[in-house]
Amino acid sequence: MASGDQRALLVAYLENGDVRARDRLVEEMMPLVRSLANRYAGRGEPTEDLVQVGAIGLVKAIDRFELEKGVELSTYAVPTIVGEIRRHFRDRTWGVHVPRRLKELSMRLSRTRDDLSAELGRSPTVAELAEAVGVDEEEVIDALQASKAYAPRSLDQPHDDDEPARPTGLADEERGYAALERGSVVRQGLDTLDERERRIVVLRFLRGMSQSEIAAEIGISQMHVSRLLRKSLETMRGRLDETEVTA
Amino acid sequence: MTEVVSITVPAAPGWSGVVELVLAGLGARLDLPYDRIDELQLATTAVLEDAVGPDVRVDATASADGVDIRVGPLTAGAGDPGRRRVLDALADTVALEPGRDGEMWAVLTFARDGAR
Amino acid sequence: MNGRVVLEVPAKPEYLLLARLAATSVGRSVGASEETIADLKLAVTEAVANAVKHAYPADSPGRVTVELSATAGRLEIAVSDEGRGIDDADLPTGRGELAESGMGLSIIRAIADEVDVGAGLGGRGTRVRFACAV
Repeated sequence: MASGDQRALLVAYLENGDVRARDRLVEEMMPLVRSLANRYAGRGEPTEDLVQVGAIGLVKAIDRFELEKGVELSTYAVPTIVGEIRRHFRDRTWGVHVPRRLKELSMRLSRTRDDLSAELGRSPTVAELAEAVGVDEEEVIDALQASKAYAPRSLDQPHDDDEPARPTGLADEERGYAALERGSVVRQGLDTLDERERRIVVLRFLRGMSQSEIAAEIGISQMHVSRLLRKSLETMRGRLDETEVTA
Repeated sequence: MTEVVSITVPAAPGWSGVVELVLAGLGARLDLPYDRIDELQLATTAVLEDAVGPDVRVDATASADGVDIRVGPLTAGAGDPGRRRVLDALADTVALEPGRDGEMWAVLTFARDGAR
Repeated sequence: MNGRVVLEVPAKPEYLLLARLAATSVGRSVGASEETIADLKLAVTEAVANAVKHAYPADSPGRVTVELSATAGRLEIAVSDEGRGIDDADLPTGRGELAESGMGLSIIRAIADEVDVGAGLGGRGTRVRFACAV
């Protein structure tokens, strides 16, 4: 639509109250609304909803437009259209207190991750998790990251169980560990592991705890326990193989 | 074709979260299984603790085979055997190499289907 | 928590995610509200998308740099490329649409407290800088 026509319609509406002129303007400018709405597509809100919301913004902008200012309507309308779309997201997505939403998503993801791992025979990708749960990849990443904050992330941090007052099975573990003869091959293998790896192996084989129980005990995910266990065993096996060869 | 993502953060405890989140994004784009992303994050943040400061840089090079992570500059303590054992459990290979100005950089490799 | 984070990625659409994640993380570090973080993510998306679309010729892709600086009460983000500069300002075509880059800037201007657009480092490319109070 040529600028002149657009201006004529604006005058007709703003000065003479010609509502048909306004409707015509809206119709002509829907491509702008659509292209703005499309930018926010795929973030959990149906695009058509965003287009409708954006159209409301366009109508508001037209209503507020000041002819004397000499600004192009399309330029003027963008912030209002975008503002309506953002408000829509705010009302729909952020209604629930964010940390709670993230926590709920984390829990769902945790279950889904276990299910998918069993099904796939490997840990799922972010895309697979997103599809299974029905949320964006970005939300999956955010929620998975948030759940890590609940467990110690630094590998070298002293673990809580190093404090004598803590009522865990630390004494049992030490006994179990000590029960292995000093010269035993398994004990030698265990020596090659760091404290945490050793603890996991001891909890698993000497105390017979399941991986989930170990995970809860140490404060990491069960998947992580599974992986550390596998690597620890391989390390020990490597060490044990060496020993047998040289013995 | 290899593509490099670099992130530089202050060498202080609160900033490893930014690195972790960006690595997760990279891992998602590369369709890495989430366990692998976890390993990438753990290994990288472990190395970050040995940064000389005031800043530390992480260069992640992605290829069809997997991801190489380069972190530095690091203090001499980065070669500590205790730390090495942990890194060896997480990454496929771990190397420490001197950079241009003599500081240390850690290079960790993670093959795509790497869980050995 | 004050500090500066610099993210460099290839100027390709799949890396937009990383810029958004960096903005989220830094935003949280400075205690920004979720609404402000959403605004920042939006603005970063527009700025990086602009660079992805316009900065480099299709056959010779380049890199985009996102600098995030947190200081008390303020988060500043600068998105730079080293490619061809863009013409500043909103460029309405009079068809009810805006040129892509013009629209992206309009959006950033609608969101952020301060915006400026200029040449990148060494006078090459483009640098779009915006800031939000947190």
